[in-house]
Amino acid sequence: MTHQVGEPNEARGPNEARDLGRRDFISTIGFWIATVASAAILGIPSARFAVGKSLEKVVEHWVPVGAVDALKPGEFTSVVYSFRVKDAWREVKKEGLIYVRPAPPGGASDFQALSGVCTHLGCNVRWSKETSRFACPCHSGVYDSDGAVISGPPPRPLRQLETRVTEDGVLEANI
Amino acid sequence: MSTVLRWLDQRTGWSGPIRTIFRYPVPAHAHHNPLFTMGSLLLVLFGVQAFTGALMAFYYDPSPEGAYASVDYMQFILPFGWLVRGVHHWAASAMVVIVVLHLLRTYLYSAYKKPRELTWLVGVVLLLITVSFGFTGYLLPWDQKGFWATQVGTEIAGSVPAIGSALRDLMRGGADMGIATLTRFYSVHMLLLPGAFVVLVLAHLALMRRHGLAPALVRKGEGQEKTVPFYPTHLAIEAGVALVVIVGLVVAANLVPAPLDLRADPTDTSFVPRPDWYFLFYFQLLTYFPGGLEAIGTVAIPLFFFGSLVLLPFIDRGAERRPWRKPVTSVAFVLYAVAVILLTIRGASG
Amino acid sequence: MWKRLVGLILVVLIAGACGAANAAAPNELLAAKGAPSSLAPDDGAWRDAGVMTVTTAVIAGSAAKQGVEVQAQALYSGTDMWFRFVWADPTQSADRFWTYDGTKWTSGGNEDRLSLLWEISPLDRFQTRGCTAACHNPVSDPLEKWYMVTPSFDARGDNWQWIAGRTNPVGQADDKTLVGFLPTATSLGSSFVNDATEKGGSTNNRTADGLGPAKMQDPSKPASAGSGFLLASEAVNIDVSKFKAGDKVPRDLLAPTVGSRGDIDAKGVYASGKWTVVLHRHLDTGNDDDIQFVPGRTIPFGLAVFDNVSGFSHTVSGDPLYLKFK
Repeated sequence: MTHQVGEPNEARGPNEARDLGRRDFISTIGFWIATVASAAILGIPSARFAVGKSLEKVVEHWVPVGAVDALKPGEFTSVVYSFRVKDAWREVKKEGLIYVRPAPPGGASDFQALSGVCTHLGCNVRWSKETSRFACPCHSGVYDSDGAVISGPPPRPLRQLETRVTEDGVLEANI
Repeated sequence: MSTVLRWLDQRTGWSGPIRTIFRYPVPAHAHHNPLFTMGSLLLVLFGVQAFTGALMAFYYDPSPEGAYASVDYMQFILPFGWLVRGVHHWAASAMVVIVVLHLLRTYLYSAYKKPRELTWLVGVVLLLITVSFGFTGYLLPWDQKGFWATQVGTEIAGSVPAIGSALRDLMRGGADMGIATLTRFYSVHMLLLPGAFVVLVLAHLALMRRHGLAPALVRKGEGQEKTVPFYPTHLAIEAGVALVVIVGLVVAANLVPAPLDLRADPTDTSFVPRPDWYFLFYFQLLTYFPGGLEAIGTVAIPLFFFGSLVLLPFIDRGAERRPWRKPVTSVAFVLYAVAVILLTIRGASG
Repeated sequence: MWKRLVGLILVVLIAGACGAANAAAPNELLAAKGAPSSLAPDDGAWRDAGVMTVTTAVIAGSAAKQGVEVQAQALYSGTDMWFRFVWADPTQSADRFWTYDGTKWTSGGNEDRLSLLWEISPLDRFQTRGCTAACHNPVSDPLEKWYMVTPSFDARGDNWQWIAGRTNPVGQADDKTLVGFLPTATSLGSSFVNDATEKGGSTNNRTADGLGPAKMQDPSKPASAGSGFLLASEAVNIDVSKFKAGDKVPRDLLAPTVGSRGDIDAKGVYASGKWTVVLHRHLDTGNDDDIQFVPGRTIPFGLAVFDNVSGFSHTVSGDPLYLKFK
């Protein structure tokens, strides 16, 4: 059994119909204004909330790499750095791999630090003393000892990191 | 535009049903009574909860180690976190209030009577789901309040005769509150309950449309009344009410931020657990049944309460719809309301 | 019908707003809105700030005989935060000196200190148990197990140390981090590590053999940090011939710290048997090794007072203290 009703515009005089038309128009406008306003009041701040800090730049971080004296000239030392950092709401240990060596004479700085992350798809590259090359195990990318691409798919050279030496003689790299 | 719509309609065939939904004639008495906007307001609030909840899930970390810090991060570090979480908090309370008003309206118009018994029953289940949202959501920040209220809440389930301890451990995911409790509360809160809510609301709405809104009390027969179209006339009112409530939620979130208590400390001995306000009547009720009688307060009375709601349309079957002409159920209804209000007040001040 | 509904909503909202505004509990430091015009201890802005009075407790192993009553206040603006602490101390101690006896130097002297501990990341139970749990944990353990570290490797605390002799003369408090691990070989031996430092900070004024001072006040410049304090910028190599028996030279070379370690400005004044220390920091320093003050947050903290000591002996706030914002 259903609720029996007549059609809304049934049996009304012409004036009433015009009146109704205007009220319908106001209702339509009112409905859409209220709906759009509600959506905007919640939606706009929420969108900002959802973006959160995802587009913020990473803060630079100096990590100790080791004592300056321990580095052998001409030879890369692989360093696994790790440091505590607040990742959004949690304290986490960030880890990564870099290669450092005393820079060849004539360079802009005394030390050369290269990120160990292949610029192709982010695998860790391996330093080979024999060939003086960095090789990426994933897709056979090869870099020379300055980090420049020799062969394979990497689009860019290995990232050069800033270095500095503390008063205590500890080499630090800017990750 | 119309070409696109025609193209879509030729594929879906939905324009007919959609037109039927929006051209629905709303009785004038319902159009002019704010109590008849409560149902759609609940739908809007559920949408608000689903939306703000989904956004908070971007950041929420469902582990005892991370939950508190992630909620703190949302509330205090992220832009507009106070708004998103505050609106979620206040909308939860608003939903409980509106659900009760919705139920009250249904009683006043005897809208549970034949042929609408099933609509009522689905509504009672939706009421249970609404408070279950509150219970499961309360734990998620893993603060002192949520932790201890859940400790007590699950212990109440433990007082059910025979199956109590199994029930409690099932709720907790183990003998003690811990990570398994948090993850299952999280899943229930944001997946199972919303899923059930959506399915039941669709059923509720379909039933409501099938039988129409309850007619005005003073009219004798159905179908004698003037009507207004659902869209745009009635929906404009609904949208206006929704806008007022949403603005109210944002203002409330700004004036009284969603609370975040201290981080849960399971070894703390000084904390006095206290549930959210809409559980206070139940919390207070329990204080009257010590020791061996505990199950009366924890199980028997709530069962009786919900049992009588379930059975209402089958007990009150006469044709009389005016509340003042059916004193038995009306007096019972008022007594229930008075009892809940008094217990809530005592629980709040105690 | 509609009017009544709107009225009801208003009543509920107002009642809710009233319920939220309640007075501070005894262990709550309620920061008031306001900004002092300077770090002067008697700045007028402090008149409007509520006072939390906390009596510190003597911890086992400490030479301190009794707790100290500390009065704490806090003010905040949209960008900055100020604290003022007042406590009675019968002696003003900031006398770390080398003393010359005509042939050799002996070092001695101690200083007063105020230390605050905040959370950077959650310290287990610090919120509900305070310092007692976080750093002096558990109390029933023998003293040798009371090593000040955070309760877990995942946690860091923010430690501020206002030191009468070494940070106060340069207008700062030391901004340190309490850790549960030792991050570098250079910080072995302490779980308090200095926040990131670009330059500055106090260093020992001693010769390579450690037998005497290496620097002295440049005779051509007045001691601008006050007599008895030696700024590194005003120090010259020592000329022992200018000293006679009984003369004193400060043991520390002072320099304001630049970097995250120097985030906290401080001014401590000793007068009529009381220290009044005002601390200032930005709400958000932007540094990873600092607590962020966000109005609205309830922020647990702990407080310790050191009376004329160089190291361990201090009295602490046993129960947790909470910073709240009005």
